[in-house]
Amino acid sequence: MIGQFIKKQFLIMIRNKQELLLLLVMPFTLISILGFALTSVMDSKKMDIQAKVAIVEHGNEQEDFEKFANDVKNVQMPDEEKEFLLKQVEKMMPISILKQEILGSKGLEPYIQMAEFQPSELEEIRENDKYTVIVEVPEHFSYTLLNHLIFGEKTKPKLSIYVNEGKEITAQFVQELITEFQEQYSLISKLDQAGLNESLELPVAKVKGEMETVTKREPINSFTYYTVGISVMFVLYLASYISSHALQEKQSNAFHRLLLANVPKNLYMAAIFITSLIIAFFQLSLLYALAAVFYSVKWPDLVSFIIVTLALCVAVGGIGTFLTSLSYRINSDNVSIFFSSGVVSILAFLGGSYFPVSQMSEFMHKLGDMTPNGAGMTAYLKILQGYDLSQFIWTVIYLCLFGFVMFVLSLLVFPKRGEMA
Amino acid sequence: MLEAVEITKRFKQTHAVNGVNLFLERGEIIGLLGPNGAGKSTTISIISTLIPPTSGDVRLNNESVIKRPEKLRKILGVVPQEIALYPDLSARENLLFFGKIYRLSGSQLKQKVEEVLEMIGLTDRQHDLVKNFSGGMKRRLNIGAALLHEPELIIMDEPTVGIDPQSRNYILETVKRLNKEKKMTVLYTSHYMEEVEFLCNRIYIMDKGNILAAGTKEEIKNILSAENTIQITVERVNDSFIQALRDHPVVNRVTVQDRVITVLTPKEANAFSILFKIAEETNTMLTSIEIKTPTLEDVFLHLTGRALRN
Ligand SMILES: Nc1ncnc2c1ncn2[C@@H]1O[C@H](COP(=O)(O)OP(=O)(O)OP(=O)(O)O)[C@@H](O)[C@H]1O
Ligand SMILES: [Mg+2]
Repeated sequence: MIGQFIKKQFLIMIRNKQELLLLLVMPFTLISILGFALTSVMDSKKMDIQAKVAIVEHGNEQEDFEKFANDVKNVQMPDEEKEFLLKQVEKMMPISILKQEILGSKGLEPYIQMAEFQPSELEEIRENDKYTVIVEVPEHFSYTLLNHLIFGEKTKPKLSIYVNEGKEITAQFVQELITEFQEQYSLISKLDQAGLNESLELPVAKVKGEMETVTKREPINSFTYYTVGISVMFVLYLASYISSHALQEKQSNAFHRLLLANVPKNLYMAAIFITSLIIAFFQLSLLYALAAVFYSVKWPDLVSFIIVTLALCVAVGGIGTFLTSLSYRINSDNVSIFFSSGVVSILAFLGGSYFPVSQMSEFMHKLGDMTPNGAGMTAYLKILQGYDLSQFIWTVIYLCLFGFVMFVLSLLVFPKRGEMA
Repeated sequence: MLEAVEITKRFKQTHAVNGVNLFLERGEIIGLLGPNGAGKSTTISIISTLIPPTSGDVRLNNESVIKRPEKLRKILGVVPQEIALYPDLSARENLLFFGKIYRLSGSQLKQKVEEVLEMIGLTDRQHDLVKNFSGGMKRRLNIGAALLHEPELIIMDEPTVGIDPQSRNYILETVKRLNKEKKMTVLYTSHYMEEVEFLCNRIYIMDKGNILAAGTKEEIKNILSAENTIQITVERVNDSFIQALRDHPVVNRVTVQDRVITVLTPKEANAFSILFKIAEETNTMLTSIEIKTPTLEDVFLHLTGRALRN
């Protein structure tokens, strides 16, 4: 039966040229205008990945290695294995790899400049605004890490990372590199530990590969930015479009016919939810298809793209149902009008549809990500920058949860028989 | 079959329905007659389970439907006072949608839709959008949408308001036909006397939330059997004549419309000679005078002191 509701809404929609105009033509026009007009503004702000990284070591990795080697001598295992293990470990001392193969690697030279400092200089460089990120290596870091990874000691050492406020975006990039490195490092050494006799491959190649994809991430141009920004904004209008049609359904008493046909109210709400979801999906797909054809906004990972789009549509479905419930309760279109003429603009601003508000401050960034459109936008931009779905899966989950919570709320708000004005 | 027992409905201050009792036997056509704001639509909404009453009960075959409306809804068709259709869908699409909502499908649905389109005379226009329909066509489709699932009982709320006499007759004939051929029980609401007189076996007269009278046409008209309705046409309305009529002890009620004066007097009074006498005394020229058989309109006037429509 839900199929009937979807079909009905589609028929109604294609016959309302004005609404189609608002939902499809207007956003596309805006994408075009903003894309052209702000080309220079956005493109000059290419992801400025020029990070100066300071590394401060407490203690000395060579000493750590010797200490570890000393420990290994006392372990119960064949001598040739001990020897082999130490040979491998010597080749993969974590801080050396981090310094030489990662932060100081040839491949990353254009993006990262690394400098080493003594602990005594720490205060000074922290005061200094020059460094994007300061990596502080605690005493016996490597020793503890090796013990943790190879002998399963509990203590897992941590690098301290200081981020220069005001350079968050670049800093984030470096942080990500280091996190990635740490993960890969532990993963690979753990895997190889199982069969120590086999060769213990250095993670460098893999880490480097990962990093190369990271550094190759496309800077977002203005068309891409506004395709996403405007689409996630206009999909919100769909929610108020749906609720205002649902209210017409009530006010024309067509809804009474549904009641008389014993259509349960939850089924009705589910129909509204799914209809919004599907129409939102069509709307977004069409907008993105147009942008792909006219402005070459291409999606590197189509599966992630579809998943994010669906999650956003779930959120829109939730909003649509919630607005419907409120409209039914107060028996007026004011809810939908208020949403489309006020709330959408605010959400669009916070979510970064007009310009990247999230770069203003961490607070704005967090706030923006709480709006469904902002969360959707973040996820879309991550796909476009070549991130993997796993790196923004929480955003996707958040969108779905948002939609379902709204849906449940709307079931609670929906007036009961007799309460309906 | 269906009965409403002492139903009342209060909206904040308004007592829309005030202890209404009403019943329907299988196969009957019942009329619910009353002026604007009488509480007809509210009564109907309660009977059709759309709104719960403030107090009272509605029973289908002696089972209350207030808490469990499903059984009644299955056999019920309701034609709402407003056009409850999707203006952006065609007539056919509307019927298909509502048919599917009633869980009809496949060839059965198609066949019902054709049948209903035929019945309401919209086969030729089935592919036109409802928003481009005339008022009468919308009304007909509004009725059609309630017939798809072959209800045993149909409740119609002023299905003929605001349409031309031709469409109106068509609708009245259709209702009669449904009753005759499909044995449909009908509750028909209207503020048109003629419609109710034409269609209904029994009539309820309602005003200000109360049932004022109920029964067959004859029973209701008998309410007036103790009175004569005399219609006098005068050349020129003369205030002193009217006043003298009003003052006279045997005259129960006087209403004036243009040059026609309607006077209610007790049957036994010798009305003619009294009227002639008053006319002579006030120098009034009469052009005609006649005793009328009472209409439902007169009954209503008698019961409420007001005309049904103004
Ligand atoms: N939802 C409501 N809220 C408040 N008052 C209402 C509501 N529905 C009806 N009323 C009031 O109840 C009274 C009866 O209204 P109702 O619609 O039942 O009259 P009706 O006989 O159908 O009139 P009409 O011939 O104009 O359709 C009116 O005074 C109306 O204002
Ligand atoms: Mg009414």
